[in-house]
Amino acid sequence: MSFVEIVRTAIGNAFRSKLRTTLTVLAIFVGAFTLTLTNGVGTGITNYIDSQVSSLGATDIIMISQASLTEGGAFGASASGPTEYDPDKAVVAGQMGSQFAALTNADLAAIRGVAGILSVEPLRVVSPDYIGSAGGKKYELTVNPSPAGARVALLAGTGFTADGTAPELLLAAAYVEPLGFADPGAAVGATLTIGVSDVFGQKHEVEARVAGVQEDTIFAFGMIISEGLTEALYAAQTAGLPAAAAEIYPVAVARFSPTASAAQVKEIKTALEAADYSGRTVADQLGAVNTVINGIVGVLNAFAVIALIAASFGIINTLLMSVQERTREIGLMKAMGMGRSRIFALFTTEAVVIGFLGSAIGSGIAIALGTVISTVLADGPLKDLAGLRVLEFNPVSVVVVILIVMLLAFLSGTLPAARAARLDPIEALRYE
Amino acid sequence: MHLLALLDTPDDGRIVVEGTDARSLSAAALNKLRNSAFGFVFQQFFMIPNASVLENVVLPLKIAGMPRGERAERGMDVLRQVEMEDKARNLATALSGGQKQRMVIARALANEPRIIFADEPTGNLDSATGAVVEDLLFELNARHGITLVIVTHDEELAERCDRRVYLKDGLIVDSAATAVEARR
Repeated sequence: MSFVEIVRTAIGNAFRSKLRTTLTVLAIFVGAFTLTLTNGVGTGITNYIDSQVSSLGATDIIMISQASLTEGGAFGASASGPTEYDPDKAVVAGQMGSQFAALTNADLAAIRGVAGILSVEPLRVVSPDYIGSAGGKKYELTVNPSPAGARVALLAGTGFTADGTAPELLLAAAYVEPLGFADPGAAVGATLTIGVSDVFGQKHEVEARVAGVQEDTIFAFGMIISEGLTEALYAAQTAGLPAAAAEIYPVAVARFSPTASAAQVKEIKTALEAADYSGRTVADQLGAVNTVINGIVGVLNAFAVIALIAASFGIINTLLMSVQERTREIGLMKAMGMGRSRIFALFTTEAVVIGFLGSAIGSGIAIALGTVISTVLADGPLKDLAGLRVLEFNPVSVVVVILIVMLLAFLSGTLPAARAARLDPIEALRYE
Repeated sequence: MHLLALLDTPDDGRIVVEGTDARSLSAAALNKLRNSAFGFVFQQFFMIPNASVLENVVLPLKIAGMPRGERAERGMDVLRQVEMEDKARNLATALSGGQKQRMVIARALANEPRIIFADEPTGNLDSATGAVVEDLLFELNARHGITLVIVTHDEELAERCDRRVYLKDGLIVDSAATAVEARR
């Protein structure tokens, strides 16, 4: 009997007892359905995070700080005990009163010397007081400290002009109406005034052009401002300060080759560590988020797999009954010269057919239902998170689910199939 | 009969198939031999339920790996021999006793066997239908030279055979040849 013939016969046999097969298929359906859905959640959220990466910053960027900033943590104590005070170390006051070691121009020069680093720019933290349109109300604002090169999805506008030296900003969508614009499109091109005060309390005003309006995302917050505007604000903020005080920075932004491999990036980080700096890439920042999501999806998948294991006992049961019922038929086929291996193949194939049916139907319905659910959620409760589709189905992972279920079904089928293959034809033909 | 059909191995003595001891044949070789040279007719028919008459008849050919089209053609040929061609599409379980046994004979014929083993072929049939089935079997013997090995309790049926072996509790108690056999 050829392979095709065995498959064809197994399909026919599977449907001989329709109710029993349907119930077993249903049990597998539940497992495959759950597994496809949980995988869909994993894929959906991971895709969303990936799509948000650009709003965190370009992938060819590494954020560099003094090693003690990360070693000591927020509490100033590392595993090796508190860091000793060094009066020569430049220190900047951070948010919430914490202090951390800062980078000076000398540090920047040292970082520039690390192999693989293409350029280094200090991250100038600017904290403007307000933003307002001419004659309108003034509003408080936050500036996104994301390094230049951040790319966000825009509702309107075209983004910064090429070299980024013009004083421009990407307005957060929430500010459009309060600032007196009818819609995001109307805001583009308008000139806004940003107020900033220096350390002596002196107020300065800087004008900036709206180059675009950002879409809301979970990672991006506040305004994204061009390099030109950052420089203008920083100059205003540090007006009157001696150079030694003005030219210290908490973090520097270095660029490496966009084509650098993971190993090369690791090399750069090792070189930085050797020089007592610490570097974090976008991938590092995302790693933590991804670990949590993978953990949750893993637990959900484990539940689905438990359901599948329960279903595979259903397959064993169904096929054992089927072998029992067809004992004489098996005897006849053996008498007619059907070999053991063919009998074994016939019954395991029947199990695989049942597994395939359950998983294909389960995955199909999960995809249909999941697509509807995520569309409804995206238009309803999750409307504010533009671009988030809770459930997304990756064809490869769906196929993998189906193949895993078929493998599980095959394994379940081996016990009844072995029993059928071992049957003695004479005994089988006498079986009542 | 199970011994002769190579389904069982003897406790004592040996079975020789065309000069070779059956014991020395591999399982695959035995299967191939049974599939190509033997046909089986059983008292209880042993059909695949929920399958058509034609599907039942071509089962040995399917096991032999004959392609579909050829199989159906050959199946119809043998059904014609037992005058069942009009029932080819019917469900096997829906047939009458005599029709079932004719179908089973067609199945035994499908692979053009050299020997047909018949275990109480008329045991489940009334005498009229039994006679039809008997005639069919002996006609196969006469026309196609197929050897019949029949197990029966029916003296009349036994009378029609060329050679008779009487068994009691698994042992041969007597054997007789008819005039035809004696003349040979």
